[in-house]
Amino acid sequence: MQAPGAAPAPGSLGTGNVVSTSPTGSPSAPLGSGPLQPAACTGTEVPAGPAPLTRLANTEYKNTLRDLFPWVFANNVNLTLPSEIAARGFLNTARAQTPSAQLIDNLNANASIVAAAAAENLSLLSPCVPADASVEEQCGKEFVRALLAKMFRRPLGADELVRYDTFFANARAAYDFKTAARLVVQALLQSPQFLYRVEQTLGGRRALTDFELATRIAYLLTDSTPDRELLAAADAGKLQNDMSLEAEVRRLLATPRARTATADFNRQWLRFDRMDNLVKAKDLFPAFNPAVAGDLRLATERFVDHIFWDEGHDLGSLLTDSHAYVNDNLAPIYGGASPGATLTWTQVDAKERSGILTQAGLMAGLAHERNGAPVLRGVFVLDRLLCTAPPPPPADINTALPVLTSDAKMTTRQQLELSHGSPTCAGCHSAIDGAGFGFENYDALGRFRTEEFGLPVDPSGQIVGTSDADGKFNGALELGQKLAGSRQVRSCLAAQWLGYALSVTRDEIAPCQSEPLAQKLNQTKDLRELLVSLATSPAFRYVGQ
Amino acid sequence: MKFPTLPRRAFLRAMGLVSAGAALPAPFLYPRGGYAQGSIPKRVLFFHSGSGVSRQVNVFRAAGGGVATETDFVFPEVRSPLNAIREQLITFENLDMVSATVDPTSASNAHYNGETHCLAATNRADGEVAGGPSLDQYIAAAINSPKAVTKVPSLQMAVQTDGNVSGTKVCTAGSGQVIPLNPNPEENYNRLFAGFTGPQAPPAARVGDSPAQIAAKQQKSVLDLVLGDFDAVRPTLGKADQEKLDAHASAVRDLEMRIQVGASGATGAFTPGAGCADPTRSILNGSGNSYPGEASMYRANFDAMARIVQAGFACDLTRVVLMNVGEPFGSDWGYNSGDFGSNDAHDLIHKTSYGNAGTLKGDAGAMAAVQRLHQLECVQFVTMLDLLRQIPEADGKSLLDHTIVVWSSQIAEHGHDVDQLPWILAGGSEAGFKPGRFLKYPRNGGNGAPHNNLFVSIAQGTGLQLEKFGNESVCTGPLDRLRV
Repeated sequence: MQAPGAAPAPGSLGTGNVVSTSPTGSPSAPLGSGPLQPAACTGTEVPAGPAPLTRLANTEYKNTLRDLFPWVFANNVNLTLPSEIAARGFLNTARAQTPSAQLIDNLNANASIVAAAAAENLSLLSPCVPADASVEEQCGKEFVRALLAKMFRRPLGADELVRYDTFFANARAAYDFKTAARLVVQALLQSPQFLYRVEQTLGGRRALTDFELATRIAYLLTDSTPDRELLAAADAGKLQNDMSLEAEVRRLLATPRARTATADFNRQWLRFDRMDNLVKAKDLFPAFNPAVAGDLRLATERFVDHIFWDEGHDLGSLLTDSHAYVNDNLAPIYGGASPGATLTWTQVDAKERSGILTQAGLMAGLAHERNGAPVLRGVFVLDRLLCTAPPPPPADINTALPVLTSDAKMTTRQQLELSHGSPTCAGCHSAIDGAGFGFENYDALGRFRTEEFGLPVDPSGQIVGTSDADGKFNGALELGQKLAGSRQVRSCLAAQWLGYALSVTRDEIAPCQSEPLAQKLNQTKDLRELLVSLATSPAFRYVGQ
Repeated sequence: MKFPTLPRRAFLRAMGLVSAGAALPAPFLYPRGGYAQGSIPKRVLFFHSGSGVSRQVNVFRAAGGGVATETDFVFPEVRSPLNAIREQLITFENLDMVSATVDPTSASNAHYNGETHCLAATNRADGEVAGGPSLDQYIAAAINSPKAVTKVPSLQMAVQTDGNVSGTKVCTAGSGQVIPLNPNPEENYNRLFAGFTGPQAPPAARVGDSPAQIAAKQQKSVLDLVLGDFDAVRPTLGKADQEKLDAHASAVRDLEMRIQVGASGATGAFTPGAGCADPTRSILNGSGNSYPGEASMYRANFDAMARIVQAGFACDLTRVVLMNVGEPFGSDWGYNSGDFGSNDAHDLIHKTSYGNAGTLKGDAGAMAAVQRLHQLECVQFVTMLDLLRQIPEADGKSLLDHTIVVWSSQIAEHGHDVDQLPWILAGGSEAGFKPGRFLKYPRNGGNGAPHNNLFVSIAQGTGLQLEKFGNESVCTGPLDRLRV
């Protein structure tokens, strides 16, 4: 029987396509072929990392188009893409990419828009612009070679050149040179060679080619296609050499693009999406409005960015620095005078604030409309910083808190202790709440407090189940100190960075692949060195088992 | 064509219809004579909402006050706006998400329990993702096989994307394959109406191609070139990567066929009637996708999307829509954060459950508030139905008569229960659904009628031939007495 060609392509991935999409990052249990296991750490060689066929993430796709056709994007061009499905909080996971009809339609529409605009400036794509019909054939071939090389990010094969040359010639005969050029761009923008990072994955363990590696490095460090220098280095075979590879990595890390690319990771790692949809109770927080919400998020992003690139550079600073970006909107939240309308790096009260965990934006994101959310805050610490996310609650559990009345005389913590004390809950909640109660000093807007409903808050907590961070602490400042000294936090971050770089979840990363990165971070106390270590590591540079 | 087409077997497996290694079932996917040339197509609308209805107030009575019967029933006060159109609706007693109850994989949380089953009705892939296609995707794929019949196979829209109420993973192409809902009215509008030139009869003979025909020819040549690239890449990849690439290539081939359907929206099989018109971009006024936004934006989004459904169906640009309504803003039903000691609307809804979580079920003010919410949802539903009823079809019936409308929800009740679904069917009288009925089913071994059976009936109503949907161990065939 004729296969249903128009049939539901989106479902055709068959088995093994499960996505873990929990906001709290619960474990995924893949289908069919069994759980996806990290490579075994036996033998002396570090196993190559997983290398699933990966489509450019939305940000990467848009950045790539912007870099290839800058004059098109000098005007306001509206590209449409479906939203992405997160896996363990990250949006670039290969397994979660479904080629829905909407995606295909969007890519098709975007290709038409961009190609039409690009064709208005053909000389910017290929210098050979035919003055008369006699050179059209030659210019067509040059155009095809220039475009394919840019968009496929690698040297071209004879077969594909024949196909594209033939297409160009036919289209030129049927229409004209400009139309042929436009249609070639339109096709390239929908080609799997452009949309996917194509790596040959048949066969045993091997080093990536220079061009494959250039593409990986570029998307990791710049969220975009390789620039001219990187392609030149690949062309010269320099990326197989440890020294010149590291030099290229350091060069890219020094570009402004690296800042936005790392910000993209940090945003997903630290769940800044929690700050996207802030809603706060009007009666309790009358000054809260969309402008405050926007600044809360921006200030938190800039805090992380500042530590990463400008000051401190390490997890220690990230978890203990007592500055914040403050402006007129945020000064009432942090207390103290406002430095003005512009967000400004400001020393805030070191007895109240220390590191990312006490940033008002993050606390407001990990909260409800009226009160803080110790469970969300605790899960955040366990999942994002310690990589020990507990399983989610059983489906049949009543998770509603008691009704709060003005004479309830119970803090949020006391209510939770009541409902989480049962044997069903205590198993997980001793770990979750142990971390989460440490944030009782921060209300639903991230303001520091010592009382809730007129009762003193109790910010004491306890970390359990870690290799080196276990023990009691009092308040988020002590918690930050504790985590800043933890090797497990560094290991957890390294595994997440490596998973992100390979478009898999951290569950598919083996310790022997990520631990060298963590060790480098531990030695250098510099997050940028973690990236150098990652981009030059065997897990990143090799494919195949 | 050089590129290997997706084998039928892979298609069936992807749709969750056959497990690897099992014998193929008898063919049942293709409509048999469902869409003769020019016949009026069936459409399906899933009007999906978040929270179900508190069970203790969702009790049907006869008009005179006694026990409700199949034809003598009155919607309870909590859904009183539906009484005006009761004769056009079908509702149920003891319709259950049995497939969720028997799923061996536990859900990651109470919302995901219903989320992964409400439209897919089969064992989960994991704690948060459905293990098969949602019914809308199943129907869209099947009626567009082997050949595309509409410009867009299906639309998935969300009036509101609220993490609490979820609905974000309700739509799946197959096991583990989530299709995101699009919350942006403008993008949904563009997808259907960009380049729309109105319903057209087959073009009269003319010299040369029209601009639209030239554009379609160019698109076809471009996509053929693209498919050649898929062909070239494929042999270099491992099996899992090939499957992923094949899925993408298959979707490109699908697009190629849909483009030939034509920018006019005319499929060749059916020419839309006088009721078809571009609703124009004016319907987008006030809409947007910036959540949380404002109540006014929510209302504008609802209105825009409802009109997109109306016109999209009327012009036969798509035949399947999933519209996740989410939940109206509290300010539109008189709720403010903190009322009755609740944290937010989500919290209040849970606290008005009949069950343990329902700590406010005895609070008259709280119950009145959620009643206002549900009555407002009913008004939305009636509005949607009115828009479909306004469109005349060539047979003298309305678009609604040719549209099966399902009011589905993630959970049945405010306490997350997934049995005794308060779902409602409307329209579809030309698809065999006889309205004006309250269908009661017995409980066997604790379970009511499986909603899988309802899905079989809906699929059959669209002209598809199948006897099972989703988890076959709980599905016993079409829902008893539903279609006549």
